[in-house]
Amino acid sequence: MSKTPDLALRFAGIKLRNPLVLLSGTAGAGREIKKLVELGRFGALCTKTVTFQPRPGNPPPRIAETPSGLVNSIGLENPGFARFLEETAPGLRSLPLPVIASIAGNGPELSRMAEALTGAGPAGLEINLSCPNVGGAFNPTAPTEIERLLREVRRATGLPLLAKLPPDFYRIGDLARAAETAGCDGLTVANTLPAMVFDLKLRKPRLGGITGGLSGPAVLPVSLYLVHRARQAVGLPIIGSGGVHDADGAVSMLLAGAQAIGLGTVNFFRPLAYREILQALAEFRTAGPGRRKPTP
Amino acid sequence: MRDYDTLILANRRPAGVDDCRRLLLRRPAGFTPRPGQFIQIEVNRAGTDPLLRRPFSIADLQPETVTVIYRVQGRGTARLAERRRGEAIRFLGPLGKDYPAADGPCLLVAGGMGAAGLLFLARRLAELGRAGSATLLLGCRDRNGLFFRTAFQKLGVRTVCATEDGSAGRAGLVTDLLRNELNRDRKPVVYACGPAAMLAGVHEATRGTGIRAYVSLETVMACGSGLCRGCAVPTRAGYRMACTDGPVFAAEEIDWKAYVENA
Ligand SMILES: Cc1cc2nc3c(=O)[nH]c(=O)nc-3n(C[C@H](O)[C@H](O)[C@H](O)COP(=O)(O)OP(=O)(O)OC[C@H]3O[C@@H](n4cnc5c(N)ncnc54)[C@H](O)[C@@H]3O)c2cc1C
Ligand SMILES: Cc1cc2nc3c(=O)[nH]c(=O)nc-3n(C[C@H](O)[C@H](O)[C@H](O)COP(=O)(O)O)c2cc1C
Ligand code: FES
Repeated sequence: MSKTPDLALRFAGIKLRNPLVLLSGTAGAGREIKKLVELGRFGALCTKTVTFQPRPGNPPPRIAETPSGLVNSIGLENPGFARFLEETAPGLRSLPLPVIASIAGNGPELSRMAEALTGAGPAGLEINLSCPNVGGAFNPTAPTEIERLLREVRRATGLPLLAKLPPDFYRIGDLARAAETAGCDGLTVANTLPAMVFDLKLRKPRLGGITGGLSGPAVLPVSLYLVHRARQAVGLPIIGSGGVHDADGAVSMLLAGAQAIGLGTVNFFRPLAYREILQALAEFRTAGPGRRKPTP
Repeated sequence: MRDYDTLILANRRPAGVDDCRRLLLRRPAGFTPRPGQFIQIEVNRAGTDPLLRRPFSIADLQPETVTVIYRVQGRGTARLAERRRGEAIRFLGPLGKDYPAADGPCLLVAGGMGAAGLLFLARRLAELGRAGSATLLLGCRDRNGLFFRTAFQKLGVRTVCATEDGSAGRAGLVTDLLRNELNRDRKPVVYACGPAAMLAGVHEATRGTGIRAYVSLETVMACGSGLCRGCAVPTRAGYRMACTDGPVFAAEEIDWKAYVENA
């Protein structure tokens, strides 16, 4: 048997044992999911986004299934920053992988949270710039706005800083450059796609929050496009996020230009998929182009 | 909680009922659920449409087998109904909180498929020698829904039935049966599972009487394990998660108006 290749990498200054990253909002803060998967076999975990004030989240139903996809309108439900800092952050270091804390808010809130989290447990920060389920201050859209916001956060922390970009097809390159100019160390590309689902019997939207965000296998080709465009624009390392659920999707993410591969919705329907994906990544590293066995 | 890979031993239609199936799974070693807990069953082994697992109560547990009884409702359960004996199938579990134990007489109140989960509770009561002090009130649309009745009777549980169309048992709703039952002098503990409006009726009938009532709630779920925050239930203390804080709640905890509106 040949030696399995080392999949370790440095991503935005964080040492990952392999490129697999559990995505924000699909893995909690590690406490529940560690009963389900071997956390020590992942590269990193991004915690559920926290905001400065607690948010109750959207009214139910919050979940609607679509062909090969999932539309969610959770509405950034979270207990607020004070509780996260006190109850969750201290335990993060004892998990067997680096944890990246996801935060969202306006400039002053983000800076306060980033400063308080520095040295408090997380190995890095991810700024969630795009939640389709909430409006206003949480959703800057122009590259200039995003750059200003990220500059402010950059001044507040020395932690590795990732920007999680919205899936803006036309401006993804500009957004990536804005994050780079602002001093970010890496990108997550992208978030869920804005979406809607109707109940035809009741003739009304199926989600309590009316609109939501689409994730899961259905979005993979779109995420590959977004990663590819962001890669053309900047040299920052990228976590490719959207639709990966098997070996082929994971390898495609690398081919599109990502350094790390996000796993989100798959944790809900096939939580052990990472085993097969890791095997395929090892084969991908050893074999050259054209020599990888296609998945049967 | 674990992700188990096991075998389908049977997946057949109970006699006389078209839209239901009894799914028999090989019980994996170490799988020890309690009545009221549920599992997330993979309906689609290889493909991605339908995508998500579906939540089901455990209807019976034997040393070698796990039974689930389900109604073919939409795309997910239709796909599950196509699965054959001998096929491998994954499930996640046991999930959620179980029915709190109580001394004294138990009143099980079931609407439609809600009887599935209560059957496991009845089995546990029978094992404890308490079936004789338990009563099942079962409400269904028509007589086809009553196929559960004999399973409870076999365990020694007294059963009273109502059908909405009057084709069997009393004509009317299970909550009418409940009011009659509560007029008798005993103070039972109530365990209820069924449609939202029925459960709200159980709360109406028991509130302020000092009778403890526990309800098992159903919501759409994605993860089933507390990761997605998708299964929000409105309670008097804000949203709680059906999959981890429930599915069994004390009836008085629930914000019934909001729950019935959103169900
Ligand atoms: C804890 C728990 C235990 C359950 N136990 C059983 C059981 O023992 N037997 C059984 O037959 N069913 C049970 N259910 C309900 C079962 O999960 C749904 O009927 C099933 O998910 C529907 O899937 P579908 O793809 O066929 O329907 P879909 O096409 O997804 O939907 C069809 C209809 O069912 C509704 N629905 C979808 N998912 C759910 C859900 N999770 N709960 C309630 N309504 C839903 C939809 O709003 C829609 O109106 C349980 C649900 C929960 C949450
Ligand atoms: C239920 C759910 C909740 C999510 N919550 C968050 C969140 O709090 N913050 C965030 O940045 N992204 C959140 N996301 C987006 C995911 O992190 C990920 O970017 C997206 O789902 C695409 O990847 P996937 O197809 O692998 O799921 C959420 C996604 C889902 C499905
Ligand atoms: S179904 Fe995901 S948190 Fe309950």
